[in-house]
Amino acid sequence: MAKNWWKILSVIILIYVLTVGLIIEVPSLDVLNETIRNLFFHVPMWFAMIFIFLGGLIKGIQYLHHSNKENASLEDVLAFDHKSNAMIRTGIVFGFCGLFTGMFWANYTWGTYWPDDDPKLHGSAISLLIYIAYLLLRNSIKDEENKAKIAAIYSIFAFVMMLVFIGYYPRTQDSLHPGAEGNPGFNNYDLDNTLKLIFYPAVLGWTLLAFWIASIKYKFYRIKWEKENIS
Amino acid sequence: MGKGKYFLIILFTVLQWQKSFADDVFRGMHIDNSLDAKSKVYLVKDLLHKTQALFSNLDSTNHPIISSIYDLYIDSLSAKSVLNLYPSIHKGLAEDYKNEAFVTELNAITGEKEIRNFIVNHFEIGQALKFNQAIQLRLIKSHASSVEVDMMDPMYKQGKLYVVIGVILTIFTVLILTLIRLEKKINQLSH
Amino acid sequence: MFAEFKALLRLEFQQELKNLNGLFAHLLYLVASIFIIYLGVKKIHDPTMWIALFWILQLFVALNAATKSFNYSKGRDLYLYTLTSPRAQILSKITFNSLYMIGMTIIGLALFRFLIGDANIPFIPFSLIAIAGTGALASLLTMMAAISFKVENNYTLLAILSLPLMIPILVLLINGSKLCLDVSSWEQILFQVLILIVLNIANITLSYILFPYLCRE
Repeated sequence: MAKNWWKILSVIILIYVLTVGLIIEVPSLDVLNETIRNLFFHVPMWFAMIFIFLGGLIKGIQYLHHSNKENASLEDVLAFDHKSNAMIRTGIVFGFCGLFTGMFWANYTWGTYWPDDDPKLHGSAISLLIYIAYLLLRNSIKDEENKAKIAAIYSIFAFVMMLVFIGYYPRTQDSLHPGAEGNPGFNNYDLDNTLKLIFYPAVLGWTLLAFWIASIKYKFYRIKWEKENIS
Repeated sequence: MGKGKYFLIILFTVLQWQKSFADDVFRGMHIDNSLDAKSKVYLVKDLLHKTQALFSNLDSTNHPIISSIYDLYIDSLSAKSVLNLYPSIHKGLAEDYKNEAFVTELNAITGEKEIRNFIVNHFEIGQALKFNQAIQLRLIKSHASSVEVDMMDPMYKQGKLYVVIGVILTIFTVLILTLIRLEKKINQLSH
Repeated sequence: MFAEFKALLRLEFQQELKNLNGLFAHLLYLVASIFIIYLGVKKIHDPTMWIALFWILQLFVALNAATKSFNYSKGRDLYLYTLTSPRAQILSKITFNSLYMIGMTIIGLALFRFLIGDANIPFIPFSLIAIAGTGALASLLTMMAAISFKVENNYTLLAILSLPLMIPILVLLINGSKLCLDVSSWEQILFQVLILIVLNIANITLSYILFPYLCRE
């Protein structure tokens, strides 16, 4: 139970966000009105995706580093790769969730599910495409060590490109998406105190949930690998 | 000089229902390149006045789309952009027309509104493209402001809201229980 | 290592000159595509369409050029590559590919302007952005070619890997090209060129660090 405290914490925080977030009084701006509550779902999911991709990146780098050492056993070294794989797959799911919550919100605020020509939306869609190419890459290589090595290298490039395309590119263009003038997060909404009270815990909660799901996936991959290779 | 047409073409394709205004101003738009600088200036000023007339004649408070385009027109010519655009366009125009009289005319235009209008009519095509994109965005925004989402009223708060929260919490609980069950299964398998 | 780099680079050029098949094939691809576009539209006045067609063409020419850069299956070079350091190898390949693709871009740009008109796009800003962008594309494609050729010489894998990663660079290029239309914004154009060069340097640095890991069997 001691090593599962963070999972319990994530459940508690998310229950708090889901109930209090929907009940609490929110400041009302034109057009947005109640839809500001999407801020507790959409934005934290993207943050969770970025954190978990960062985790996948770090595990990939650790794999590359440890695979060079002479006394490393294959099991321990491949564990890094399995962790990276699990994290990136979970990240893609969270990315799609963030995209769908964004699309539903867009329908209420802008009248359309996908406005034409919006750079931030292009950025997020292409970043997901880059990581889907990662999945295709993994599928097309049979040998495990090769797979792990190449996937780790690709994930480094993918992360850098994602940062360029989600972080830098929307700041250079006019965009409907909030926060286009400066921080492409939530500049327009005067993030007032009640919102902050729910938003920051929400980021933590969704991120911890993402890591929990990734850890279950990792254990599953691990057991599958052990059954195939050790028995 | 033909490039100034692009701005007005974009503007008028959007205002299609105001055809009578569009026809009037289109007729005045043909600018002959063989004219000397001074005549060009007068033609440009004439165009400017007509564009201004277009905006002041429209009832901008009632049409959401027209008011948003009008706002955009004013926004795009805020003082900062005037200061940024003015030197380069001043230089470009002076080279283009190569006429001292024209430059003096340009300097003699007083009043911010006239400068703004003058610059609008001399947009390079690149700026016209940006302007087009900005109009598209504004159109979407103006559509949005007509689709209002109401704030929760007390009746809703008492009744339906708790049902919604209940459903969401149930889905969430099912998800968490599934995750816990998977963990237990996997821990069993690995021991 | 610099001596190895120079030697490998000279080797790349010599190999290219010995067997000009590849070069002529790419030139033929480029010229034929531009000619087909010319037959279709004669002259393009709309700058956005000109930009879009030009970059689609360059994208596929670059992709083609990348596929022939890591042909280890030839066998005669394999021994040489086990002797030299991997870092010198990747740097020489990136340099060679960048020069090759920049050459293709310049020839493509000249032909496009000659046959299909220049659609009022000023030459110097656009060629600056085109060269910076092609450099970034070349470094990315070389690294992806390295990855995909370590995995059984797989051409489709190269396309799968590199197309999503190239889209951000292409978006930056297309925006930069559209900025060129607005002659009063030199600082913005130079800023875009700077961003593309920074991206190029980032790609080269990552390749330099990661290629040795790729090489260890």
